[in-house]
Amino acid sequence: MKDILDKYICKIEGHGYLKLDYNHAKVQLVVDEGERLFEKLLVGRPYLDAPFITARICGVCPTAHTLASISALENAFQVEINKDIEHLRRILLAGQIVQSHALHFFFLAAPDYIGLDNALEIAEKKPEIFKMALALKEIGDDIVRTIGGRQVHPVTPTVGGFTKKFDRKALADLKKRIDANMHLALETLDLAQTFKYPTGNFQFPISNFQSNYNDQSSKIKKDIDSGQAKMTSWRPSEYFALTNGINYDIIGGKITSTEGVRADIQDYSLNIREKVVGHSTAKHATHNKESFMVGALSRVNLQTKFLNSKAKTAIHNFKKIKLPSTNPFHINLAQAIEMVHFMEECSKLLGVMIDGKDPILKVPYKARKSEAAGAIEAPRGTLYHYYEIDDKGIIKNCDIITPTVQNLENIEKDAEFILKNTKKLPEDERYNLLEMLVRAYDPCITCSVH
Amino acid sequence: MNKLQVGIFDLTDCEGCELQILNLKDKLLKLAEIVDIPIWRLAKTPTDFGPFDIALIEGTPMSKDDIKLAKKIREKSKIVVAVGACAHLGGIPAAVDEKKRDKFLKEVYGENYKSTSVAAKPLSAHIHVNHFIHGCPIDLDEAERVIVDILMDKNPIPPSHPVCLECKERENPCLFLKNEPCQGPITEGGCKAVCPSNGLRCWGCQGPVKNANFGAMGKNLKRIGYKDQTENIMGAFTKPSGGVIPTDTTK
Repeated sequence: MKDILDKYICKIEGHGYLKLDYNHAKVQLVVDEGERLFEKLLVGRPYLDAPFITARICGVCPTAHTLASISALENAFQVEINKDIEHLRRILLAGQIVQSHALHFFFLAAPDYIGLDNALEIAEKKPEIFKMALALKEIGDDIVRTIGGRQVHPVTPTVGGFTKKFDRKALADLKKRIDANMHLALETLDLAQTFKYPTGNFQFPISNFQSNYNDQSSKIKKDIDSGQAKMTSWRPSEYFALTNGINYDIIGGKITSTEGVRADIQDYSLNIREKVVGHSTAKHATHNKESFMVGALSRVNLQTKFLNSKAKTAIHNFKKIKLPSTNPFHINLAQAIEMVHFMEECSKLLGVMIDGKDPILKVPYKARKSEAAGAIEAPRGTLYHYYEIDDKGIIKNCDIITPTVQNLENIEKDAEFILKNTKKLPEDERYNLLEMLVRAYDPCITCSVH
Repeated sequence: MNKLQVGIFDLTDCEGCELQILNLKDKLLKLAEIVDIPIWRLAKTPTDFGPFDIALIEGTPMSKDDIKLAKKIREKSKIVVAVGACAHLGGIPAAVDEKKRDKFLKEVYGENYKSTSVAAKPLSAHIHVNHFIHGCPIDLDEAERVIVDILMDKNPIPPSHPVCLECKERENPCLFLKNEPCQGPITEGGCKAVCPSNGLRCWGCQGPVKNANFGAMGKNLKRIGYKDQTENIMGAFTKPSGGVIPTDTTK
């Protein structure tokens, strides 16, 4: 067995390692984190503790947890937030996604594609890429710091709005900084297109990709039907994301999949089922007992037409890669697409706020005995929080399903697919490909054991 | 002269403090010029497995392997630094009532589930720790100060004043006076009072300040309407029975 200092897959969030049966193409991604029992720790505490405490589930996407818990609690108390609060939350969550994507794309995933090992090597050997990486990470941090009060574990978001007022000048300055860095996001997307994503020799007929898209994805459907969209040669998955049919939504909306699911967030547990698996302290989620994918590639596959113009134009000009894609390594390409999209989104929303009146950032509401779920798109995919609150405002019950819990089963299935199709390769190459796959998925193992 | 060997490690936790180390950005690059970082699981493939002059450890040892890893790092390192509230205090995971852990595990994972992990405790409950960087997450300037002190062979001294001092310096309106259960008066500073400065009450993530008056805090929490929540509030970042924060004595 490997030394304890070298046991875990490096360059992913949290502690996991692969248990492989090369001959039978069986893969287990063993998750080895202590059970922190957040869902139980919250029971008996006042509801306002949830946004603060659940942030600590994950240091990479704390803002997503805070906003998901707020969304669930506001659904429970039927809080009607105003446009300003909604906009600022969308900016904040977009900033969280840029932050997380920049970190993962450049420092954890990119080394696999450019033949280096880590960020320090990138700094030394590809300083131009490192500069882009730092600038984009900083702009994500900047957005979250400006709106959320701190770049890790936000302070300001609360049920009913924000604990802090923002002046329009601070928002205008933030917009300027985002606009000044926009070109770097576009250059990153250019870079992402040059990556050599493993394609393998795996040919799949296009009909294997269930093109039963919902109405808003009609463009994708048309592309597929007309053969314009060439599916890459990978094992197809069912792709899930929140959609609202109006924009590239990240807070609320409907639970939507490429195989026709269109469900209310309150019915999440009917569609997404968790199971305990023997080899992991993280549960696995399935839909109709099958694995599925959430996250950047899922969102891009489902909602290409709602991307902002810069990202859409860039995709239109792609030379080699066609979307939607079933290649899980394209998750990293999708992250680059989303960095462009969400920076433009922040700029747009900030523009609206700067032109408006001084925002009112707290609305009155009454806590009451109730229960509800809330969901948002976290960097790694749909994040569900559910709370039951008693008449004194104390949490009675809590359920959290994280994106990585939803992806784990799919990671194992994709890994098995790779093993099945690489029997002629030497074992170490096969192993490296699997580690690279796990990294491409950007799993948040910390999140998955909460 | 040989460069100092620095290892960066994580146990069970959220990895937010490691991200803060990454968020040092240019300063981290400067650090990497003067020391070697042969092992940092989150950031690179390991190139060497010790011995280490300095080990920065984030998180609380919960899984069997966490404990094994922590002990191994201790064996191989001259100086061990506990990074962040989880390593320092046990953190939010330590707020789970240890006596109810088995019951909770069954409720979350089912009757047949066998956990091999233990309740969250401070890193110092498992291995000897030389220095601490406080906070959830760690403050960037504090992290820099402690790391630089250690590199200069100095003993990094914790701030030893309450969050209130840093809050007053910033002329924030007092949240405790607004009947919010702010833990500033009993919590050590060093965080620039970032939460109260943004309108959120202090949660005590930096750990108790020297001579913290828990009795008075407990009494006041009851006075402002948190009768059933005193231990939840004062013990958010560590278990009252964990030895870091004494139990509420006013009962």
